[in-house]
Amino acid sequence: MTTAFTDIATAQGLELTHGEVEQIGGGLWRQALRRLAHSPAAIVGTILITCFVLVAIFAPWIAPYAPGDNTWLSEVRPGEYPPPSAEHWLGIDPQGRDVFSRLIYGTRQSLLIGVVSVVLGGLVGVGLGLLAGAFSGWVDTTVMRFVDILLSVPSLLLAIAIAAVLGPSLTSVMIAIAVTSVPIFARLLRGQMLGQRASDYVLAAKASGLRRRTIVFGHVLPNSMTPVLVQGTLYLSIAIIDAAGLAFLGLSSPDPSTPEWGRMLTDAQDALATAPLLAIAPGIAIVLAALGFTLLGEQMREALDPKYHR
Amino acid sequence: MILTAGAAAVAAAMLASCSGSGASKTGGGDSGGTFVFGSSRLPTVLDGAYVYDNESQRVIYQMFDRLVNVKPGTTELTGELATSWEVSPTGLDYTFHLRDGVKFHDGTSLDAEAVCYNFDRLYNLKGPAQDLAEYWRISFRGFAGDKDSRYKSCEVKDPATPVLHLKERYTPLLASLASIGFGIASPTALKKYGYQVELSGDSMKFVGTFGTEHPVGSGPFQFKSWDPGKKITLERFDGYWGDKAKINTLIYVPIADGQARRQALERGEIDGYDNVAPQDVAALKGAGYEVEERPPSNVGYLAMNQSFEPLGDLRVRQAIAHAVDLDALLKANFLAGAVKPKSFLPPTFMGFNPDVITYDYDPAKAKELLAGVSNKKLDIWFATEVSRPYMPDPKSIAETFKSYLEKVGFDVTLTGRPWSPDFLAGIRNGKAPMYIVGLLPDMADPANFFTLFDNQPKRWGPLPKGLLTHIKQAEEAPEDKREALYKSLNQELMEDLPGIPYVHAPTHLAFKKGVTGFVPSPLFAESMATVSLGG
Repeated sequence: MTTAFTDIATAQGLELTHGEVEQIGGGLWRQALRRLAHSPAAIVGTILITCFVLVAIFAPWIAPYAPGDNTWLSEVRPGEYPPPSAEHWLGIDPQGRDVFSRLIYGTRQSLLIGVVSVVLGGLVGVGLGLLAGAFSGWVDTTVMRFVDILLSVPSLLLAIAIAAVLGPSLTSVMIAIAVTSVPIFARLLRGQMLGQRASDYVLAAKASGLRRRTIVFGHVLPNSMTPVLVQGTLYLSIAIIDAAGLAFLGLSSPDPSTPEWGRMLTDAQDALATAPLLAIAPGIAIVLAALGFTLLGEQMREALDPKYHR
Repeated sequence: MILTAGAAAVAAAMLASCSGSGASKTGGGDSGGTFVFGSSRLPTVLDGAYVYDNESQRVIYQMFDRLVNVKPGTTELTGELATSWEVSPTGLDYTFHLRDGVKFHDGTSLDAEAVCYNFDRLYNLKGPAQDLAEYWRISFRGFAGDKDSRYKSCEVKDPATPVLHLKERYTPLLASLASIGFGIASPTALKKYGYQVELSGDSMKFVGTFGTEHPVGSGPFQFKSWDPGKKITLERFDGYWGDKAKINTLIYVPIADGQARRQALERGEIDGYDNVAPQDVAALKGAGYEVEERPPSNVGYLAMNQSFEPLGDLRVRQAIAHAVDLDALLKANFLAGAVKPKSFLPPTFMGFNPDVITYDYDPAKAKELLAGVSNKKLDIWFATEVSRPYMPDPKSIAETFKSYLEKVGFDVTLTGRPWSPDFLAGIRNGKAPMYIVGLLPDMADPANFFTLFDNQPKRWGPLPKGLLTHIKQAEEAPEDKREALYKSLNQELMEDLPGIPYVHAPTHLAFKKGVTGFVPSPLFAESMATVSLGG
């Protein structure tokens, strides 16, 4: 728990190397951390995220069996799968493998896809938002129309189309989800930057003869990034759900034996009547992971909002 | 995949509602009514000359008669259009005596002239049509102009007596003539509508409309309409020479997903369907549906194309065979009637050999065999969007193979491809290093299984020359010599191990309560004429 908070502080420490904002920004983050530490929802979110991250990192040590180990196939009959037991907490899947172990290894896929796609989408989105926010005129118009086009297509549909064109693979799922997140980051950053540009301190900076680059990178951008970071945390939950959705539709890793939550759901649908746990287990995992990021993200948003006072 | 299933279910629901199906509305008493059959997909075309798949066979079988057929539910040959026949001692001349007064659906007579027209049209197929005419190629090997064609001529001895003359003996010919590939079609319709095929890109285009809009045979059902992708409607043929069909209208609707088929039956949208998933059989029986079982006459196998490394190495193929626990695989994926194969040929066929070399589950031995082998990378292809009796869920079987093979040290990639055309074409063109597929026989002869190995050489890579020669010899040997030849062929095949046969699977069909008269056949020779909807 404290690790995550320290992380945020450390991350912010990097942000704080930018001149004058240090005083104001640092104060805001310190206050935010204090608020988060007193918010039960943020604590629950942080615990959930920490658990998933630890499980993902230490999967081989935590999982009782290898994800592809089908030693228990001889106990499986068509439509009848061994129920949970002391050895197999979540039972055995139709291919004779331990469901609990597969769920644990599935955490890796979900978090990997989530983090990589959000970082990728965030970088591109921030880049576009920066362009639009820093230059007005035709640059802004061109970039924002492009972003509008991306926004006009429903995000999951866009992701399905991209994943289908690139062919089923982990990389294409990451790219697909990243692309759908680009317009959100771009619009958010641009809006923030426009707001900052009109503020007095920017006016003062301009008046004192600072170059545009210094103003944008040294003042406007650092002050506009907070909502983007919050959005990034929130979008992780969407990315995890989208990743599961794409896997459910058969658009993730081409090898069906890869343990993935979304794919585990697909595989379980024929056994819903006889072995509902096969679907419930990955379903709960997806919900908890998404919930963790949503709780923390929402609380961060509230904590970092200077106008928000409990 | 899920989208397809959902879409199919919706399509089926719409179809059922607009066709006014369901016996509750149209069915009545012991006869009449509309029967809606859910198949996993619709036929490719309704011309038996051009198809070699079970879903096409199912529909074509109802509309065409053959010279000979198998007795319902058995592999025993009996006359159909021919009431009797003689084969010359050389095995080169087949004289058939035709049934009197048989008419095609278009009212023209089915006589010796018509029979010979059918054989001559197949012999004279040109270009891409030859590639499709699989039954002809298996039985007669070549077409007009090919030196190695077995076909010589068809002679009209008198209007009721056609005689087939061969250049070379092919002992399983009668069994082969009982397949849909040799259903007798109306020459008038063939000439009027045409049966030309053109190559269009990678796929075949049926230019002549005989097989798409005007299939005319002499069977108990006649063609009414085909709404592509949605349904095919057949009607009872009242001029049929034998017992008339009990149902008036027979509709085939495609529902790709097994679960969606079951739900369509449970909702009353269809009256019966094929390829019931093994896990559904007990539940459907329990709920009062009529469930019919076909005997396990098929084979499912994991093929190993020897053009790909490391599969060219016999030790590797043997290691693969020893690595897999077939008993567990069978129990987990199939019902109790499934048989663990000794070789590719199921036990119900002549020439079955129970004493062939076997490869027991022995991971230690597999590892031992792999001792000096450095390349342990395997790529197994499996089909998507399909379920077959020998692979109710191809992906599940592929994952099972992968788990076993990785346990003994292989590095296995699974590659899923849509059944048609990608998967089947990939096999045919020799692009799949290993693949999970099977064979549903439609010929009461072991040749049906061994043709697999000499008809499409690219799918196996280099096979021993001796094996291929012996397959040909067994096809051409006199009847009394063949059993011994096939027995030894089984042994030869399992020694070379071009694949691992993993199942002879029973298959199931489910029907609405009260449906009677369906006779499951080991060769899929299943007439819907005897089926009635009941009360």
